[in-house]
Amino acid sequence: MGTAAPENQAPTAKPQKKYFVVSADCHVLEPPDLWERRIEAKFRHRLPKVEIDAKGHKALVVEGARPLRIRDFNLEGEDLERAKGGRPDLAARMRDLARDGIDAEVIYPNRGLLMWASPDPAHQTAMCRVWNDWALEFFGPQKHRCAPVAAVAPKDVETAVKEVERVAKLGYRTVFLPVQAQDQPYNLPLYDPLWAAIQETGMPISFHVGTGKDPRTATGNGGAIINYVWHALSTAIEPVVQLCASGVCERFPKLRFGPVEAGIGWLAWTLWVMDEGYKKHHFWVAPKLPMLPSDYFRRQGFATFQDDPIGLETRRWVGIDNLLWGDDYPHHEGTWPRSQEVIDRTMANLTEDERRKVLGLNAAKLYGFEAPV
Amino acid sequence: MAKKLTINWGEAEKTLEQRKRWLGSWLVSRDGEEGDNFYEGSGGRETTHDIPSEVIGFRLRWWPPDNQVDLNLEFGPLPTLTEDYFFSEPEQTVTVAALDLLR
Repeated sequence: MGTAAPENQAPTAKPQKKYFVVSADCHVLEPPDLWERRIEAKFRHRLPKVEIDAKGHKALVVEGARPLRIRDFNLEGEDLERAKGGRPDLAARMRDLARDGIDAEVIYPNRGLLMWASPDPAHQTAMCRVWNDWALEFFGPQKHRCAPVAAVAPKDVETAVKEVERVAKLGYRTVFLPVQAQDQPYNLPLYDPLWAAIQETGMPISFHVGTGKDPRTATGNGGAIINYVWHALSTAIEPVVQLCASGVCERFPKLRFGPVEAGIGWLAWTLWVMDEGYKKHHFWVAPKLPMLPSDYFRRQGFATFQDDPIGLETRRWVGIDNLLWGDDYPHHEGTWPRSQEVIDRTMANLTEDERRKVLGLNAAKLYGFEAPV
Repeated sequence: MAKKLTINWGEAEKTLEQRKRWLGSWLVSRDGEEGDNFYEGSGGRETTHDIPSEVIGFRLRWWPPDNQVDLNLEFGPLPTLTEDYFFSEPEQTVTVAALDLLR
């Protein structure tokens, strides 16, 4: 199925581009042997890989996760185009941006979404450093348009602080943390040195979904949808609540953070129930905070979305300044190469000012892109 | 111990875009610890390498050809490892066909 419109909505004619557009969520396929070539030798044999058994069956093998059967199937048309997109070819990438009307982008890894799969913090850190050393170098010639994220493994806080300081000096504009920090949740005070370091750099934190825990959990009937909705997208709620309710935002009032690629339809409800819990369960709530949890999100949080008309209907509950659009290039759940059509279809009810903000100005302010006056 | 390693990387009959991409690394312990890489590149050639004294074997990884899209892997191309090869004591020169090591 194509990306542009649900089956009951015919695509509209391609509209003229009239907005400064920043995609706050894109990906790049790293060189296939990036980690094998660059990671410390002692970690190399523990990198994700494919194994083929005697019967020829292929499986994705990732440290800390159960092997996942890989099935062959064929894609066609724009599905195939997306599968071929995002390769490490900067000139081709610029052509793809132009084709879809994108002026600037925030770029996440692809295979690198597995950087936090291993339960070993040292292994996570080694993988993150490989990405951090490569991405800024690769996108350097287009740094005014392309802002790759700096990946940080948070479990070993002291090491994470050093990496935050290092990537800030390198010139990164945002820190990418896994959305799920298994067995060491983000509401624990032990993270305070990390929040302090990130706040000091001024870099926002991006919690991209599908990281920290393998989202490919369910199998069998409905597995693909269960994994997408429950094991990937809904995980975005956790860090939002952890940071807003635990006092992190109170202690670090300039810390900016947001879930990426989770959509926004869940966000207004989450803000509402955080406050409801804070008020009605006041006898259990600690710490007591000067502001409601939702107020901290509106002051410090943000969220990205692609094709989410329902979420946009709830924007007054969240705040238009907290919403960032992204095309998720080149992923199948994204909007490339029909982003302009999706924007036209989903943002018809937004005012001109609201469109300008969610399409580009909010992201430009957050990530430091130069927007046209 | 072996002194030289010669590997035929196979697939010489295919166009460059259709050949596997290989990475060869030395093994320095029976636990699978790896040392330096000794080859990065496509199939379709044969190479010979001096074997460092501390090396006891080698490991090969391969990726699908450049023109092959991994439609079944959202993470893009991931390597497949061949069986590890450990040198036996009296060998002076080892000659191997990479494709023979595929599982």
